[in-house]
Amino acid sequence: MTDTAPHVLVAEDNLAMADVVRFNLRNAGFRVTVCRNGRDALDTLRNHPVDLLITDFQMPGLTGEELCREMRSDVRLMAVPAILLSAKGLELDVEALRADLRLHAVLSKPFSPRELTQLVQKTLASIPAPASLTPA
Amino acid sequence: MRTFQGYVPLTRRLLGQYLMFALASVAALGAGLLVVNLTAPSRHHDETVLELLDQTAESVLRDLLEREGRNVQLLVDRAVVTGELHYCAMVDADGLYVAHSSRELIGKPSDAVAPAKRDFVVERVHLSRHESGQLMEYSRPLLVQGRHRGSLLIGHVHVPPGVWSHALLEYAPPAMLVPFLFLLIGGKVISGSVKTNSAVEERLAEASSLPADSAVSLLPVDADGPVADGWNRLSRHLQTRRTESSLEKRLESALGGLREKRAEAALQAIPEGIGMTDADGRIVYANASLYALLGLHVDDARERPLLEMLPWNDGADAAEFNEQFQEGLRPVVIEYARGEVAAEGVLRVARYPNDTTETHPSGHVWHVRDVTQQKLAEEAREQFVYAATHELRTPLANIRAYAETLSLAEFDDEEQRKGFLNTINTEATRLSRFVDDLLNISQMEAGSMTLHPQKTEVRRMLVEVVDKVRPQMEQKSITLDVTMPAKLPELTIDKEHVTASLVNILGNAAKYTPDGGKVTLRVECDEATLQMHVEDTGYGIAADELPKLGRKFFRSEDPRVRDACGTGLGLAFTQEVVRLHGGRLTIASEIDKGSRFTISLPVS
Repeated sequence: MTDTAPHVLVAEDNLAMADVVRFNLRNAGFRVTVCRNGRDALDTLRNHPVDLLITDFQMPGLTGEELCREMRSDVRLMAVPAILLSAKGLELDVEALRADLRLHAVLSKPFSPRELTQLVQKTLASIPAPASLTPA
Repeated sequence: MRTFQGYVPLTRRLLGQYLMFALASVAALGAGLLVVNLTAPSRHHDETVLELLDQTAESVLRDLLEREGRNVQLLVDRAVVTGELHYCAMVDADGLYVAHSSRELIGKPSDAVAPAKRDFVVERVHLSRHESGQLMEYSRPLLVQGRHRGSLLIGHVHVPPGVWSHALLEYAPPAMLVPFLFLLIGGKVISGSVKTNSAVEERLAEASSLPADSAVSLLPVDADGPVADGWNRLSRHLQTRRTESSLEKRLESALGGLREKRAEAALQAIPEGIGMTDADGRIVYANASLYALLGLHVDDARERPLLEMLPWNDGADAAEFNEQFQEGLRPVVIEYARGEVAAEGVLRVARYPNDTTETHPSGHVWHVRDVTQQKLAEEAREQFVYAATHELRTPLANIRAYAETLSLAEFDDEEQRKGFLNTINTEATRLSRFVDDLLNISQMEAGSMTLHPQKTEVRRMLVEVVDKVRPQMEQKSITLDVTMPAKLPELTIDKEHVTASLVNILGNAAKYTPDGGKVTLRVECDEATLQMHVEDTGYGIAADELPKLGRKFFRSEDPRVRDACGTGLGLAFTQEVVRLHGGRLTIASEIDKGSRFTISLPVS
C-alpha cells in the first residue's frame, strides 16, 4: 500500500461493518479512510482527494443519500464514483436512486465483502487515471 | 236505534204537499166565488124593488076599491119614476094589460106573465139580459075582497154600479179566508218539513265558507227525523274522528320529535363529521363535528357551497382535489394532510351522492373523519417494520461480512482473527436479543404476555445484564459505572423479561448518549423495594414527550433520536413487564443533560 494507491472513503456508522470493509479493501491494496457520519465524510471529500466513496444509507447527521446529493452538486466532486450500502428492504427504489444520484452500485446488506472489493476494483478500472484528475 | 219506515223524500213530500194545499185553496176559492155569484145580486133586489112593488100594489088596491081603478095608470107611471124601473104594469085576471108604463101595450095580452096561482106571493117571473144589465121582472097578485083582480108587474134593470165589487167586498173575505187559511197551514207544514233540511243546509253552507285548509267542523242540528238523526250522527262521528286524529297527530309528532331528537343527539355526539348538501352544494344539515373538523363557522357555512370552503382551498393542490369532486354521481374519498407530517392532522373527506337514480343527484352526504391517529399508527407500524428490518439486517450483514472475511483472508495477527470471531459472536447475540424482543413485543401486542416467575438472584442477573450491554457501550466509548450493594435479595421474578427490560433501558442509554458519555447503573434495596436507576449524560427527553414515552411505536421527534435505530417498542415492553411485576417505571429527564429511568420492584 503506497500513497499512490487509490483512495477509498468509507462512510459507515456501524463500527464493526466499517472495520471489516476497511480490512478487506486494505488487503486489496487500497488506501482507506473511515468516517462514522455523513457530515465528516463530506468534509473529507472536500478536503482530500478521494477516488471512490462507499457510503451507508442510514447514518446520523447526514444520510448516505444526502451525502451523495451534496457531492453531486459540488463541481469538484461530481465525478467521484459512489457505491451505496443499504440495510433497507423493498421500500427503497434502487434503480431510481441509482439514476438520480449517478451511483455505480447499490449493495443491499448483508453483502459479500469480496464482491464489494471486486466492485471497487472494477469501478476504478473503468475510470481512466482517477486520482490524477482530482485536485490536491 | 230509531228506524224510519215509509219515509218520503223531501222533494216528493214538498211537491205533494204543495199540490195538495194548492188544490184545496183553488177549490175553496172556487166555492166561495160560486156562493157570491149566486147570492149577491138577487138578495140585493129583493130589498129595494119588492118594497116599491108592495107600496104600489097597496095603492093600486085602494084605488080599485075607492075609485074603480081610475088612477091605476097614474100609480103605475109614478112607480116607474119613483123606482127608476124599466117598466110597471097591471094585468087583469084575463091576462090583458089594463095599465102599463108603456101605453101602447094597454089592452094587449101579457105574454110573459102567467096568472098568479097564489095570493100575495111575489114572484120573479122573468129574468133576461138587458143591454145595460139584467132585466128582472117581479109580479104580485092583486086580491080585492078575496077576488083575484090581476097582478102588478114591475121590470127593473139591475145595473147598479159596483154591485159585484160590493158583493165581493161583502162576501169575499170569509170566502177568501178559507184558501188563505189553507195556504197558511200549508206553509207551516211545508216549513216544518224542510226545517231539518234547511238547518243541515245552513251547516253545510257554514262549512263551505271556511278557508280551504281549515278543519271542517259540522255542528249538530236541533231537530227530529231521519235527516237530523243522520246528520247528528255524522257530526258526532266527525267530531270523534277529529279528536282521535288530533290525538294521533300529537302523539305522532311527540314520538317523531323524540325520535328526531335522539337521532340528532346521536349525530351531534359522534366525533365524525356528517353533513348534507343540496343540489347547489350548500349545507342543509351538518353536525358540530363537521364544522369543527373543517374549521367552518356555522353562520358563514350556508353562504357558499361546501366544496369551496374545504380546508385545501387555501393550498396549492386545491384544483387537483376539487377536480375529483366534479363528477357528482360517484362517491369521492380524499385524504387531506394539513401539513408536511401526519401529526399536523389528516382528514378523510368522503362525499356520496344522495340519490343515485337520477342523472343529477339531488344532493350529497358528506362524511369527514379525522384519521390523524390512524395515519400516525400506520406510520409507526411502517417505521417499526423498517426499524425491524434494519435491526435484523445490520447484525446479519456483519456476521456475513466477518465470516466471509475470516474464511478467505490470510491473518498474520492472531489477535485480529480472534477479534473478528468476537464480533461475530457479539452480532449473533445482538440478533438473538432482537429476536427475543420481537417475541416479547408480539406477545405484548396480542395482550397475552404472561410472566414465568422463578427464584432469581438479583446480583447475578445484574451482572449478566451489564455483560450484555457493555459491548454496545464500548462501541461508543461510553463509560458504564455500576454501583450496587454487596448483598442483594433473591426475588421471584420473570428473569428473562426483567433482564430484557434492563437491557432495553441500558441499551437506550447507550443509544441516546453521545460518544464518550457516561451511563450509571445504581441499585438500591430496602426491605420493601428494589430500585434500579439508569442514569445517562445523553440527549434527554423533551417535557412534552415524557408522557408519550411508554406508548407502543412512539419515537421521539428529536432528530438525534431519529437517527438511531429503534422500534418504539422497547419502553412499552419494559413498562408492561414492570407493571406485571407490581412495580413502577419512573422517568426523569432534562433535555441536553440526560435522563434517569428507575425500575422499582416489590421485594416481598
